[in-house]
Amino acid sequence: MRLYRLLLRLLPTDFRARHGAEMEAVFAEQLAETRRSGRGAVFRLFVRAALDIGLRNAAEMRRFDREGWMMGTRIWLDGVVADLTGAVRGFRRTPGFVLAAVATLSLGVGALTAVYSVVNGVVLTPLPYPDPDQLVVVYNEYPALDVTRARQSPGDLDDYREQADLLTDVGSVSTFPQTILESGQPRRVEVALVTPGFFSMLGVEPSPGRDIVAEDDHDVVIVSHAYWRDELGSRADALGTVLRFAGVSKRVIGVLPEGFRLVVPSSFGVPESPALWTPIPAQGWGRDSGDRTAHWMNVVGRLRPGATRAQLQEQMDAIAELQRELLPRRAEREARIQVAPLLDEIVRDVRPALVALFAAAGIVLLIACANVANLMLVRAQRRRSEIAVRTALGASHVRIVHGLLSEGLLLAAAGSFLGLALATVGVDAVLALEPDSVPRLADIALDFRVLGFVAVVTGAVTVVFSVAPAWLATRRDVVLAIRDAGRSGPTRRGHALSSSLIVAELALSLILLTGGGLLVRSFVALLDTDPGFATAGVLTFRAPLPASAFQQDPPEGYKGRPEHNFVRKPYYDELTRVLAQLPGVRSVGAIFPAPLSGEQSSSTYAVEGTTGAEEGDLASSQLVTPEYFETVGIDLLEGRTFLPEEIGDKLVIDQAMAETLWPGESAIGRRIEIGWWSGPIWGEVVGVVENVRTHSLREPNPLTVYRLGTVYAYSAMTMAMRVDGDPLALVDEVRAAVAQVEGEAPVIDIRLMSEYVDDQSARTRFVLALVGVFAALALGLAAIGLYGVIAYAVGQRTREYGIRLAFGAGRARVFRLVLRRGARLTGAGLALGVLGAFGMRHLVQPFLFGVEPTDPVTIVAMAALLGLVALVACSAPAGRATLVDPADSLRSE
Amino acid sequence: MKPIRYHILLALAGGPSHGAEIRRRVSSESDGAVVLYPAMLYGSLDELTAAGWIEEVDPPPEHASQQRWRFYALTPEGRSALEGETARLEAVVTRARSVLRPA
Repeated sequence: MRLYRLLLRLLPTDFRARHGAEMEAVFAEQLAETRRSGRGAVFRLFVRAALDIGLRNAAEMRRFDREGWMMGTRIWLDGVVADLTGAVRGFRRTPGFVLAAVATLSLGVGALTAVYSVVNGVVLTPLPYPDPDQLVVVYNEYPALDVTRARQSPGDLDDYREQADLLTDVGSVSTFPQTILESGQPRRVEVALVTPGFFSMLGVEPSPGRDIVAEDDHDVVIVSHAYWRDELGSRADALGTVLRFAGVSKRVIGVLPEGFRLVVPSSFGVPESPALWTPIPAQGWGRDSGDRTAHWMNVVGRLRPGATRAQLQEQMDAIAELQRELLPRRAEREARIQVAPLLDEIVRDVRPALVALFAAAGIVLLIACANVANLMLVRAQRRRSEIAVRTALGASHVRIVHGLLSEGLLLAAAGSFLGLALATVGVDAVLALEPDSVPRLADIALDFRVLGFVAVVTGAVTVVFSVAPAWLATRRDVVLAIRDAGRSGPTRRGHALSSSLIVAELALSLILLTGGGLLVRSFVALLDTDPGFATAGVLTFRAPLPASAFQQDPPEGYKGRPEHNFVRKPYYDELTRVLAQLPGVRSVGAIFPAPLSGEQSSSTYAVEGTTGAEEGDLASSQLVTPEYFETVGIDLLEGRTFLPEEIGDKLVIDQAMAETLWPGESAIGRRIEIGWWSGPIWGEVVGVVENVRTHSLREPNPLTVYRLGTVYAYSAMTMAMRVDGDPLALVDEVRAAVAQVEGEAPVIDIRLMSEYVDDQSARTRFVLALVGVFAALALGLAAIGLYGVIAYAVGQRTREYGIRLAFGAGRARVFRLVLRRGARLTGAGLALGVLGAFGMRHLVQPFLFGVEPTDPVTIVAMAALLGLVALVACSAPAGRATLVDPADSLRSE
Repeated sequence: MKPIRYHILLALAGGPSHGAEIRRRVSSESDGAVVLYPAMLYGSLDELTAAGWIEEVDPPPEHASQQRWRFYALTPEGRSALEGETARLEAVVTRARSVLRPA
């Protein structure tokens, strides 16, 4: 009969309302008659009855069609509205419950949605170019050196152009800071250097104007839309305008469309919106000569439509094979060419952070769901008699479950709505926190995908926390429930359920707390790392060369290729002299690139007597002034530093390089050939200094070679001044001093050397801040959840405690009794949480420094913290249990 | 007219009745050949009501205690429809006999 009742539910509501009961009776009669004819007949009866209802259903539907589908929808809607109004009515009676549930849910949904918005913008949104899937990044790998994602030389790019016919286009983009002399103060701007046809490869057309072509030299420039608007007044005749730069003038040949952004991997070191774009200079960059010494190109290509990346990879493998035959050093390094989708490369760095944060936010949402499920459970327990009465009066289980689901849906919808609002605020907060470590910030927005995600989460959340109470509602001990009405404690089933929910919550919190603890320890370890140079009391600023400092002719005695730009007068020497005279300045030096600034410069090198530098190994190369080492406290271990009058043919190397190249011997007087933009240069080692960490705080530098940096025009050197007292008090004097040396020279980015070091921990700090917030949320929610469960249990057992007290149990004993229950739950939660923390260790691994992901100290400390909080959460209800008046309980019995 | 409807009208020709009784009458009058399943039965009752051939009536006094059942009775239109259909069936049967007899 129950089966038949279920079948009846298939019929439209109004038909069922009119005839349902009679149909049941009729069917019961039929069933009774048929039973006499055996089981087969009964089975056939059911099949027929089902068919009968199906046919009727179809007929009724046709009737709805005739009478207008509105009718049917209205009937269905009426049911939903009835459920929902019922839910609202229920909520109005318990505003506290609603408030708690909605607030909890909004925190969980908000956290997850905020993280998802970022994931959506960074990973899921396609790149803003036509056919973005065709765009690939090409890079070199040297397995023998353990080097991957290496940049390439102009010669490599020529190879791809000529031999990789599966690429319709291939090009390169890098950046090069130049000093622009337009509009008042000379300014340092990042100028993007691109290969001909770069924009057409991306699928972008300058308008007005044209793309860069092969015949262009660096005297032409394409400007961004923003530059055109702000600096050129949106003039229609802006094309042909000549912009003056230090050392060169450039004619505007195109304006990029509004909203164009360059989205490339952060390893390219190119900003998202360079204002100016020029071709790679024809001279001095090996552009047209197919140079293979300088590896500085970031190669992007567009796959031919229909070709697969695997096919392209095969082609590249073949090219790499040829290159290995031609260039012995490549063979030695087992050089390979790798192809990867552009988008993958862009998100590669940030992916671990996003995965970890998504997991963390997911955990918060799970905990929030568990809390709300517990609240619902408690509510369902309280309403057990109500539900039982309704069941007895003929409300079907389905009906009651419908009602509970409606309640859940309402709560989830309200929570999600608030959560969405929280997420918008949260995303803004995230972006404000650390914009630099996340790519594609402009693509992060609330779009339909995010809204869809929230909808899915809402649905899932509803199901998750409505299932438990609904499960309880299907219990069939109606009589028992009615009889117990008003005085029952939680049922065994509900009890076990809420206990396991709490255990799960505590376990999840411990996972998050452990992650947070590990990050804190990494952060501290990073702060404690000695970069090898002194940062305290050192003021820095960038001092690019002013236009007047350039000259075309090399200084006397210079042995490199002649086409380079050279400094006409010793600008940095002059600057050093003037700055050193400022009050409180003890020492002044200069370096390029600035340590820990993210900029890196590498050169190939080869020791005399081996292969040439053309195919030598890579070393970090830095340009310095003689006083730099002393200024930032890098100790000289052997030999001497530079002399002011030297012109670049002397070298200082670090200890690691000396020990690698000449183990056990003195490096002084040795000769090394250095690969340089303009061709290899010989240098003689005159000194050895201690190792420093200028690339990354996390690991020691690769072998480092220092050269005297005063002669080259492209060195936008960073000045460093060791100062007594507050370095920042000197800022005005510094500006004045620079103006005194060279009126139109820019002063950029004045900051303390220690800020470069602080930036190094930015990514860890970013993840730490978010995980910290999530862990705090989790801890709070779990504590509230535990408190709620224990408090409810205490409330239910008031009588029991009263009787215990009446029979002489001490208050301490009752206190312990309650606490023991909390401790059991906490213990189970902690045990599970430790297991979970082990399971999740690979998620935090990428952010850790100086600490193992399974660090026992952290895990134990966090477990202790959680235990303590749990204890506090339990002691309040436990205290209340001891205050029960025994007389009251006895009277009420 | 659909056979089911004819049978229901026929069952009601003996006086007002309710669903279960109608099913029983139809079943016994056809020697169990015509089985009315509940949805078909009540669907047809709805349709016949809508057509104006039957109507819902108060339970007769002797059944007053049976509150849960809705009683249906034949309307004059229903009666004439039943008579018309019966006449048509008779004509059909007569012709069928004349065709089948020689065999």
